[in-house]
Amino acid sequence: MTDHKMTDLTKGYPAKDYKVIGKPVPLIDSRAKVTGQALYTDDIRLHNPLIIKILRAPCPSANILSVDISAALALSGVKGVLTGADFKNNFGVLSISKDEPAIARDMVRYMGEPVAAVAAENAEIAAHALRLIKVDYEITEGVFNSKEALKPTDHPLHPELNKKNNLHKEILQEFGDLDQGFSDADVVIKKRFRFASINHGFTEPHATQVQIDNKGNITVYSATQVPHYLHMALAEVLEIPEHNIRVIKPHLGGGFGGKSDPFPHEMIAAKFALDLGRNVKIKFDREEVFFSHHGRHQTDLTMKLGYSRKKGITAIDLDTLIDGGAYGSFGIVTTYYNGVLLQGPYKLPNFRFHVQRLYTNKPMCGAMRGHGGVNPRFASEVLLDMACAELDIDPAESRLNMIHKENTLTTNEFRVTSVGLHNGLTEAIKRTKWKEKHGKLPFGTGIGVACGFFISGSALPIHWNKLPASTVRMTIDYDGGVTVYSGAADIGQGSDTMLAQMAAEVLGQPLENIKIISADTRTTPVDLGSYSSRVTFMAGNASRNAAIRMRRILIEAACDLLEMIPPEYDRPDAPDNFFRQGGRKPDFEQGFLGANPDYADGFIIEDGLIRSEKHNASVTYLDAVTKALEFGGILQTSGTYRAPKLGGKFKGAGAGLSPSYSFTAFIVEVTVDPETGFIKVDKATCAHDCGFPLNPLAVRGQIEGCIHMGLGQALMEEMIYDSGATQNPSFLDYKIPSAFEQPEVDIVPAYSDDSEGPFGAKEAGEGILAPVIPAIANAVYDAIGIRLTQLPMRPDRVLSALAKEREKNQEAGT
Amino acid sequence: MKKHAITLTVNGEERDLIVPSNRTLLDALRDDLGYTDTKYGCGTGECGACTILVDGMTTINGCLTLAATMNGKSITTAAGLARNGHLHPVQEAFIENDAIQCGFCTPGMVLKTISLLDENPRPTEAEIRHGLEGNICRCTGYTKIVEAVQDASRRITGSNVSAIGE
Amino acid sequence: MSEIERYIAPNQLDDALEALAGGPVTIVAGATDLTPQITGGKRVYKATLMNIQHIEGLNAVTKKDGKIRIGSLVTVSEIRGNPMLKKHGGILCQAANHFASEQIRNAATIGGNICNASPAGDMIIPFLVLGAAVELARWQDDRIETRSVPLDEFFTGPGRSVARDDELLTAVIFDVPPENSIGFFRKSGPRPALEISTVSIGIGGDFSDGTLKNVRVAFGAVGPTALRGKLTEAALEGKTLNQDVIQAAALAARQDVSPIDDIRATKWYRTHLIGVFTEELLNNVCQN
Repeated sequence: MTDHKMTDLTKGYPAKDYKVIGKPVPLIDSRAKVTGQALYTDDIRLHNPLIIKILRAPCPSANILSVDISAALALSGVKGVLTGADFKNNFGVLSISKDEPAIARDMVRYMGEPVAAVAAENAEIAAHALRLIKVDYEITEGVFNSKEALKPTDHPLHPELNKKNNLHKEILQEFGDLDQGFSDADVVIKKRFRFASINHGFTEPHATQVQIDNKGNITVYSATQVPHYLHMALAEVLEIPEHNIRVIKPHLGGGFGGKSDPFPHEMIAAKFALDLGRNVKIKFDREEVFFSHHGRHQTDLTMKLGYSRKKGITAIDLDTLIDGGAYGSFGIVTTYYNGVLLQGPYKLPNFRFHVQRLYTNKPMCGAMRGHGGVNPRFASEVLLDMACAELDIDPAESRLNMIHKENTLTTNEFRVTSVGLHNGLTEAIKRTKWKEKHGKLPFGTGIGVACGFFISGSALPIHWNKLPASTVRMTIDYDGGVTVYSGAADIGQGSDTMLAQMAAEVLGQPLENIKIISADTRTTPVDLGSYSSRVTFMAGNASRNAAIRMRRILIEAACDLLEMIPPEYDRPDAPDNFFRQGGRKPDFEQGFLGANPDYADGFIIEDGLIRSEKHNASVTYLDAVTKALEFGGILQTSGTYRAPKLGGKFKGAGAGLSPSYSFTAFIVEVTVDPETGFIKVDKATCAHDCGFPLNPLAVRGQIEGCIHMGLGQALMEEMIYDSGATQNPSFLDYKIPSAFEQPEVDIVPAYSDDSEGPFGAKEAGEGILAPVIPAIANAVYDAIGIRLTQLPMRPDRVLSALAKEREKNQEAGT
Repeated sequence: MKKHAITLTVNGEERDLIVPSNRTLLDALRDDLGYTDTKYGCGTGECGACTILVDGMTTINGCLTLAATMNGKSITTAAGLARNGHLHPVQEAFIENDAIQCGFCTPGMVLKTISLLDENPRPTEAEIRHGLEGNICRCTGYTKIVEAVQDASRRITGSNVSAIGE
Repeated sequence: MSEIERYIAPNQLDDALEALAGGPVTIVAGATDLTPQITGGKRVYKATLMNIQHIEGLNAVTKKDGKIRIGSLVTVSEIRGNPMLKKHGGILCQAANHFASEQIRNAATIGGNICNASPAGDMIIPFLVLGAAVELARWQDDRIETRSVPLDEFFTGPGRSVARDDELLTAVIFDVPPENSIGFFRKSGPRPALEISTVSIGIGGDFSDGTLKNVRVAFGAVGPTALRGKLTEAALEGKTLNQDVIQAAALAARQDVSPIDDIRATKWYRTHLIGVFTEELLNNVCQN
């Protein structure tokens, strides 16, 4: 294998004299992590905590006739037992589908659902007590797949919805003229696809600890991506004011969407702490993580795609069933995203999607990296490849011709600003020697291409309100140290580092001088959480805006000391939207708005000095800080981000709206063994347009991590259920790729400067994942002439498809 | 449950503790002795987050091992690698190559790397990938980790630092 | 859950065997299979937990009188790195190299892997190919009594063997293979390690002038126990290897096995792979 030296991702941009932004910065908490000092939730040591264990349903569908906890309560060392009756209010991350109880009340909806919980002096006693709880179940007939769930029934999973079926959400949207679109096409292809449910596979299992003080206030330490939503859900479920609850997210061992809901165990732990007046602690074993799941929806879809030589894709018609499992979670959003995320990266003039999310007696599905967009993307990219093959058109060239232009509206009125895909894919084609390889490699080796598109955060909040999507508070101490307070949750992606980079760049400080306090609902202002690739764009802008305000205070103090007239800011009281590079289009000819465009104030802050460029006079940074402190005794600013008003006027127009979109192209090379069916991904070349890369090292980590996860979904990962029973709840049987399977990776720049992203940046965490998978499938076709339409592409499926193809050829031959 | 008094030397410190017969070494290290740098990821020996070094350079999964069977053994965890405030060269290589994202697998990865380089100071890329198979990372896609191991190999072989530190 | 009433860690074999004779005992060495079985609820501890790691004389690999003896406490890592075994039982080292992860290899013992009696037990295949026998010891009339059981007669089902509750597996023994012997191991899955086999296969024998003699073939994960491929052996015994013979052997291999559908693979696919791997290994033999 070759040495994977990464191309300089900032190459291609006009020179920027940034000090910190765009530089390869190891994550600021690396040292704490490499020494083991970083505390994850279960590492925190509270005083004498009770240990909580959860009794989980042994069957997927049942009525709970009675729960007898008397023997468990009588066991020495048991301090409390909770059942469904102890919780009145349901919860759910979306305010429109709060359908999950902390503990099952009258019915069990999935195997592994909590039916009781015990708090005891130690884990052994708690485990013992679980065995003493007698639950009388009346087993009921379960529903285990989407098709079954569509049928009318008198016994739906959620009788409270007053429906005679298990349909959770149905969406049908149509744009343009579908008939016209298909009649414009030179080729129309329709195919069924099937996708297994997959799990996030984060390495840190769920854990929660709750500390209680003598006034009944609780501090909830939890492995969560969404401290703010957890805070709200706890208040609602426990029926206590939010100010009595403080949620802190310690270091987090990965999320990928799997920790972006409030969870039953968090409610249970908080309830025990309040009821018993004791600190409590719960941690999951790996099996419980799989039972709780919340992963990518099992999906059955049929897609019809029309393609014209001249116009590219003329129409897509999509019909999809997604198996949601027992509860809502993010499912309504998932349902929309299955359709609307097909609006990029190509022009799509005529488009219909019909998506139905069903309730079934399985662990619920929810958000997972690439949320909702991954499976339909596979279908569209494979169909596009098929269309090109049928018309004998180069599939990479064809894609180049269809990519959205900058500053356009999509058919469903998404506002597309910056687009760096064209240059990225062009470079990838060149670097991979695509034209010499595609269709020309020997049998068993192949090359394939696919592209993708994703949001940089949702423009609309989950819970409708007019508050900023993200707010950052910033302070400077007497010693000049800068502290950034943000509700954004660093889940391993490095958002703390990103926030620090913003402040360091604007304030001319070394990164070491910036301290981050994040994801603590008592001390940090609200950020909605780490999901939908929103943090860099939204919290990043908020941090940058807070820093710009802080900079103005320092410059004014410096001017005071220098006896200079401070620069005239355009509108000193302007709202934060003004600080963004709003409305200005990125322009490569003229350079990206020059260096530090928004806070060009005629001063340079570096090396501990604040220097006026014009007057060649300077004061020390610390003197300016001291001077500024004279006014109010503290130095504090806030910065916010709110998305601009976007979108159409039709129902559902808000789904998928984002202030900006990322674009990705993959070219993947594979070797397929036609005897064993093993697919080996040899090399993945990625061009990801994340706008200006704030931290090339972190961007690279996201790209390589997405390749890992895409490879898993493509080749091996699947949740296996037998009549609702999870068959593979361990890493032994749920295989995720190891270091051995990771291919060689080549990262090529795909530059754009986003006019509204902080320093021109867009998302880099999720959109990369989706196109990896169809690129592998298209490469497999190039290698052995087989179209695989079911994920994962297990070796036995490869061989079955090959055998069928041979039969077909033989029949055709006779 | 029957309990036993055992003595473990952890990161150079002798520690006496009393454990039930069925207690895993991982639980003993984390819950009884406070070495929370050793992580629980799966409990079945698949993820390697609980990797520790025993009696020198032998890696094992703490989650599979019974503490009672480890009486008298000497154990190294990630918290015991720094010397006089200086990180182990493998730790430095992991930081500088940004081989760390969420960090949950990192202590195990670092210990595994130290053992790997002790046995084979100049491993090929294929040997590194084979060697890291018992350690799952879900964030990085492993590429930067492999580069960190290569970098650590250069640091160690270049400076004659023994793989366990000074 | 049962309670462990007694934990013992004897240094001497006779103490261990006496304890075994005295009542229900859970034997632990590396614990790499035991712990997940206990936490997964597939097994419960018996009243006595006996750590056999300290028993003297069970952790050596020796070559004497034309026999190689591997003590039951020898770890998979020790097999992997043993120069004598590389020379005389290379197939053992191949299998050890593909066994789980280094962390598990360092703890897992040969005795444990065999006594766990998994149909997919990776170290069982090479021992079957080497024609190994296991030595079982027990306490009888105040002395140690041992018996030898050929490994291909040892297993009776998944997790089950002919070993009695009071017997301890003390060693695996096989004849030093002749100079011209060969042995190859193959396991499914692109990944060398940390994969429970979908199927595994070993082929060995004496090879000279293109002809195989004393052939032994073993298959893993294709039946209730790891098994010898008798039809495949017959198809190869005394034959000069050519493509016709190899094809015939691959066909015989498919008939030798009776796999099941499970979450890891289908019966059809396992049977197919067995044929493919037989062919691949025999081609390796030819090229050797």
